[in-house]
Parts: sequence; structure tokens; C-alpha cells
Amino acid sequence: MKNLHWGNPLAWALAFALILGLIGCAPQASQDAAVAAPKSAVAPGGKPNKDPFGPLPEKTVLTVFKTEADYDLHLNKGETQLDNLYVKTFGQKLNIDYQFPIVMKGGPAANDKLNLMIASNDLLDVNFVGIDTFNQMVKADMLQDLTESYNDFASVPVRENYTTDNGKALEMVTRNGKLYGIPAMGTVHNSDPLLWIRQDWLDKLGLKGPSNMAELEAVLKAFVEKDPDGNGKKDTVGLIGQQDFINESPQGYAYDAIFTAYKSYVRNWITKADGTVEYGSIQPETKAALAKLRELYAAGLLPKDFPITKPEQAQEPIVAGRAGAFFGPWWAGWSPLTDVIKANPKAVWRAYVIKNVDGKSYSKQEAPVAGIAVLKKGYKYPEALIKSINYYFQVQVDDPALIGGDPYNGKDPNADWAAVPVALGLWRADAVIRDHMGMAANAEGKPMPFAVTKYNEKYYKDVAAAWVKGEDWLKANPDSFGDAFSRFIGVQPIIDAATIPVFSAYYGTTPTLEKRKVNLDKLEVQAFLNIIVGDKPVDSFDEFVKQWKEMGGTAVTQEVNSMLK
Amino acid sequence: MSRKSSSIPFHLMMLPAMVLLAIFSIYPMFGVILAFEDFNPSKGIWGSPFVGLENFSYMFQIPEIQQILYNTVFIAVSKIIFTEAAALTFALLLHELRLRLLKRVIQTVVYLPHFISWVLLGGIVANIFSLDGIVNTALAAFGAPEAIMFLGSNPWFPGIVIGTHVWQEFGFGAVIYLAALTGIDPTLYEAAEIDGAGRLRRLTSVTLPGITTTIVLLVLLNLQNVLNAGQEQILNLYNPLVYQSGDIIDTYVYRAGLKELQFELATAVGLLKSVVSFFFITVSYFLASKFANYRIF
Repeated sequence: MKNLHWGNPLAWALAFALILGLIGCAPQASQDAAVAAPKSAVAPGGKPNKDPFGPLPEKTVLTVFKTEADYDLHLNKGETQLDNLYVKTFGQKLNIDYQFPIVMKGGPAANDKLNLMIASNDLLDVNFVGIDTFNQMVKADMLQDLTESYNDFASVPVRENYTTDNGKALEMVTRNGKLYGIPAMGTVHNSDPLLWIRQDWLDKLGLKGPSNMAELEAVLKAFVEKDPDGNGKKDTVGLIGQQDFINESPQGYAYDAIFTAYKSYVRNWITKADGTVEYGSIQPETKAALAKLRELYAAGLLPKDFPITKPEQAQEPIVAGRAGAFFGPWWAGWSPLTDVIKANPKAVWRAYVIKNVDGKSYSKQEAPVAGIAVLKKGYKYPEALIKSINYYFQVQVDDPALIGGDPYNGKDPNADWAAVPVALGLWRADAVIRDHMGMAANAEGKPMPFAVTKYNEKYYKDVAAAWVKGEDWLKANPDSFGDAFSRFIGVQPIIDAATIPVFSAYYGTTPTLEKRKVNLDKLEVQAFLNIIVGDKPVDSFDEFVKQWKEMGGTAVTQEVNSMLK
Repeated sequence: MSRKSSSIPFHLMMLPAMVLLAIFSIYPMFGVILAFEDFNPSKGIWGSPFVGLENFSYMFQIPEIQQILYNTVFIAVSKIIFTEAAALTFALLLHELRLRLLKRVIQTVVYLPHFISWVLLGGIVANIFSLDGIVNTALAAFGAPEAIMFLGSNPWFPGIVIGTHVWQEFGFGAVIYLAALTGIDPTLYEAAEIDGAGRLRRLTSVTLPGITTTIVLLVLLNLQNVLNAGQEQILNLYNPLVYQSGDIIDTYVYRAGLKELQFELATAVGLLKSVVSFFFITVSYFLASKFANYRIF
């Protein structure tokens, strides 16, 4: 007999009830915010009218939801992500007592934890959320209005940083003329899926780097059939894949790029010629892409088990040296390639852009908002959040001299940004290309094409210096490999192909989508997989489109269109 | 000393347990009103607006509800039947063993998996059934033409879920049967042996009748689990290819409730499951008292 086992419904009901029941009732005025408000409450750019780096009037506790970094933060001996010079110095200068009651590894588990904390209205002061969660929290009236604090305290460099996307990110976290969060901007081209490929295999087989689907298919066929690793076994996997093969913004080891090559923008909202907005996955172009994927799968050019491969397992064949091609972002040089070259230093990796059927390069993008720092409603000094971010921005991005220098002054390599108390990745929206240009100029000994911050000046120099030492040196020094290799090998193809960024016409949710997203996503992924693995004919796509519309898709489309008006 | 006063210390001893029960089990039960609300966390459970049965009617409008219910009941009932059958068979076999040490060792080894979390087991099972895992390697050695993607195949997936559950739980289930078996009066066996009964005859005429009540009781009490197909296990094994055969109520609620923040829906489904379970517990209790003479009250 198993009584209160976690499989027991009673246990679940009790657990939910327990979590939800133990919090008292905090009656608060509610306010139903419209999901999309066009106007921004704060202007990008401008000046603060109070001291952006001054201390709070009294020592105040600020609790922060912390995501554990899983890499070396380059701190001093004995320091941790929660207890280091940044946390101490920021705290002293700003009169803030930073506390970190929750420390989680990133990913789904951290998300589940945050969602439970929202459900029980038991939030820490500072949380980091995505746009959907943000919308829910605004609707539930859980967030502090930051408009006044931002206008009074946001520093000049932070404000300037927000001009790089023309204020789009700030606009997306504004509801009814009020600013409810501090956004990290999505970085253009940051997740463009490049085809990373074993150049040494290509050379051995006498092939050139593929630039379209036909060439890619020929290369994959050669990889699978001609034993490029020369071990006498037919054990090479084709194009690495994983079960999350379609995404709103492209993910590593996914097949988003293949859809884009057929001009299909799956999981995005696309604007039609007549100005109306429609769901990308149900367009006829998607059918063509699925037909091709089905062919590739049947020919054994995609791993047979990609639908049951979890994202975190996808890189295993690459590290094991059994795979020579995968789609990944420009920063794949850090992960997985740093591990890969450690395991197999002889492998030579290069990145290529797969162009679409018209010979042009397009790519889906990250949402204009990558993450949002939000403050719990009712926090006594809302400027604590703004000031923490001002301070971090000076130390890690702009010019540390302005606030008395980086506490880690002279440390090399410099302490990582994840070590600051409120870590929000405030890169410029155009950072990917710009950083590459800066480093390339350094490497070639040319003058800087634009003004750079003190921090970047040194950073560009360091990376360029590592790069000019050559690939063999980088492979012998894996600590420097990721940065230099990604910045040069990873970014150059995007510039060469003049990739045009494509944004979804709509981000976030709608009332029907909130209720039906699980069903619609399930329907879509099932229909696509059935076609790809050959369980159903390609024409079952039309049946899927019909079902998708009936199951709420039509209503969602209407809602999205009316939101955008 | 009267009987009443002597029992007071015993009642006092029960008090802490009762208090804990009230705090952690009875008070939170009020939380189920969430299932009838349009829940807004900042207003709390008592402040959120009531919507009556809307969450329940929505639940039955879920397009694939039939599929999900079917999967849940099919997997759960198969698990109950096969686990109990395996546990019983195993207990009977083990009972016949003479070497006490060997018996102890086997018993311990087979119930160990019960204590391993599915987060770990999931990885092990996925590995065993992967395209180049043990099972496919063995099949290839026997001349199977093509590796089978077990965890991505709708015909195979429920079987693997049920099979691995049985493997994990039968040893633990056998403990109760073994306990019941030791309760059989040894003189019965001696008498049967003198009467000339062989091993098989002793099994059918002494052993099985001796533990019939236990068998009936365990099967009946398991009725409460007809909607429990094993969330933890399936969550760690399934993937979009096998939604059709492997998506159960609990995994659906996990995706809809926690991932998409529809807490009220999750509570409504949980409540419905509890009501169904409660119904079956009640029924099984009466059946148990009728057929197995088992009573709590």
C-alpha cells in the first residue's frame, strides 16, 4: 500500500492547497492592464535629476532571486557568486543589504519555482522574468511601478544603452503609461542559427561549405555515407537535432533554420501582404519545409532519435566526434565547441549561413526583450533596483572610473557579470556585430570605427590579441578559445551573408492563447513530427491547419490582430 | 481507576499528531475553493473572484481529454494488475526457497529500485532503450533488421512505462505477501505433507487460501490509483512523439498548470482526481470489508 505518495492525487491536491492555503489574503486594489500599450512611459536617453549612484536614506534589505552560474566567474579565492567584492561594494555604496534566499540553477526548474512563488504571492523583492510571466504579474498587480524611479535615477549610460533598440524594449514593459520592469534588450543576431560544420571533413571529402539546402543535403549525405572520420565504421550522425526542433526564437541543435530556408517562420506571427497578421506555422511554406525534413529523415541524414533527444543531450555525438554538423548561434564557440576541442583538438569547425530558396539570408530573432528585472509591489525604495543596475552597468559595461573603479581593478580575467547582485544582461541591441567590428579593427591594427567604453576598449584588445595568436594557440588555451573563436569565426558569416533579422509581429499572449497554448503547441509538434518521421503523409499538414484553426487558432489570430491595431 | 481516566494519557499522546493533521491536512483543504475561482495571486485565495464550475467545464472542453483519460486509466490499471501479479508470483517463489540467507539477499536486491527516483531511473531507462542501447544491441544480435526507437513509438511506450514500473515496484509489493505467507500456520503444511500433498498441491490448498484475504485487500485498496498513472515516471520518459499514448492527466496538468500559470485549472483537475479516488477508496473499503473482512472503523 502506498499512501501519500507523490503519484497520489490527494497528495497533489494537498500540496497545491498547502502552498496556496498557507498564505493569508492580502486584499489589494487590482487593475486590469491592457496586454499591449503602444506608448512608453519613459524616454530612452535623457538625464536623471537625482544622484544615480547615491546611497539609500537608510540601510535596506533587498532580496534577489539568483540564478546560479555554471561556469568560472573569475572571482578571488574563497569568494562565491553570493558573497564577493561586487556584492559587498555595491551594498556599501548604495546602503543596500543584498540577500539571496533562493539560488537555483537556471532553466525549467527555476521557472517552476518562480511560478510557484507567484501562485503563493510569496515573491522576493527582485525577480527575473520573461514577457509572458511579466504580463501575468502586471495583471495580478504584483509589480512595483518604476516610472518615477527610472526618471529620477537611471544613469546616463543606462539610458543611452536603451536608445540602441529605439526604445522598443522599454515600450514592451510599459503598461498603461507605467514602467513595470527593467528589460534586458534582445540582441539582434544573437541566436541566428548558423550551420557549424567540420571543415576538416569537408576538405577530406573534397566538398565546399554549403550555402543552401541542396548543398547541405549533399554534404550530410557524404558525411553519413563516406566515413569522414576514417574509422572504417559507418557511424557518423548527420545533422544533430533535438525534440524542441521548432521555436519562437532559434535554439541550438534545432531545425528552425531549415524552415527559414523555405521562407517559413514557424512559431512566429508574420505580417501578410494585406497587413493582417497570421501564424507562421500554418503557412504553405511550412509544408514545403516539412516535406524536405521528411526526406532528410527517411534518408538517414537526421538522427533517427532526434524526437526523443532532450536539448541537453543533443551535443553528446558532437563531443564524441560522431557528428560533423549542427545548427547553433554565433556563440557556439563557448558551448559546445570549447568542450569539443578539448576532447578532439584536431577537429576544425567553421560556420556557414544557409540561404533561403531565393538565395537570401533571413533569420528569426530573439524577442526585443530578453529578460526583465521586476520589483515586488510595495518595496520601500524602488530606486534600489535602478541604482543596482546603474552601478553594475558602470562596472561591467561602461566606464568603472565614473563610480570609483571596478572593485576587482586589475584582475585578469575580470570578474564575470553574473557575480553582481542584480545581474541583468544589459548589452546593446546591436552588440553582436558591433563587438565583432571593434575586435576586428583591433586585430587588423585599424582605428576603432566608433566610440567605445573604457570597459570594451580593454575587452576588444584582449580578445583580438588572443585571436591573432592563431587557432592552434586557442585550442591549446581553451579558456580563451570560446570568446575569440565565437567573436570572429561565429560572427563573420552573418556579416558576409548580410542576414536580415525577422521579428515576430507579436510577442506575448492573448486570452484564448493563455487557455489553448498547451493544446495548440501539442497539436503542432505532433503533426510536424508525424510528417517528418513518416507516420503520416505530407498532406496531413492541411488537416493540421484545419484542426489548429478549429481548436482556437482562429480566435487567437483575431485577438492578435485586434491587439496590434 | 476507571477505564476512561486511564485512556486520557493515550489521547494526549495523539494530540500532537492531530494538531499536525489539522494544520497540514485539514486547514489547507480550504484551498480547493481555488478550483472554483479565477485565481489572482495578489488577491489571494479568499479575494479572487468566483467563477463557479467554469474551470471544470473548460477541463472537459480540452480537445484531447478523451485520449488523456484513456491513457491515464489504461496505464494505471495495467500497472496495478501486473505489479500485483508479479509481486504475488515472486513472493510465492521466494517463499519456497530454503536458504534463508539467499532469500534475504534476493528480497533486498529486488526492492531496492523502489527507492530510486525517476529522475535517475529515467536516464537509465532511456539509455537501455536507446537506438544503440542494450535492448537494441541484443535484438540486432538475434538478427532484428532495424533498431527500434522504443521511447518514441506509440505501440511500445505504454508497455515500457508499465514494464519499468512493475520492475521498480514488484519487489516492494512482495514484502506484504511475504509477511502474509509467514503468517500461515506451519502445522497446516505438516498435516498436508502427512496427507501426501505434493508441493503444488500444498501451494493451491494451503498457501493460496491462506493469503486470499491479503490479495483481495491489496487489489481493492489499489482501486484508488486508477487515475494515477505515475506523473514522475512519465514526465521523465515521454516526448512529443508519444503524447498520443503517453500523455496523462498529471503531465497535462503539469504543462498547463505550472508552465502556463493556470493554477486554478490545475487545482480543478487535482480536485476531480481526488473526488474520483475518494469514491474508489470508499467503494473498495466496503468491498474489502465484505470480501476480505477488513475494517478500520
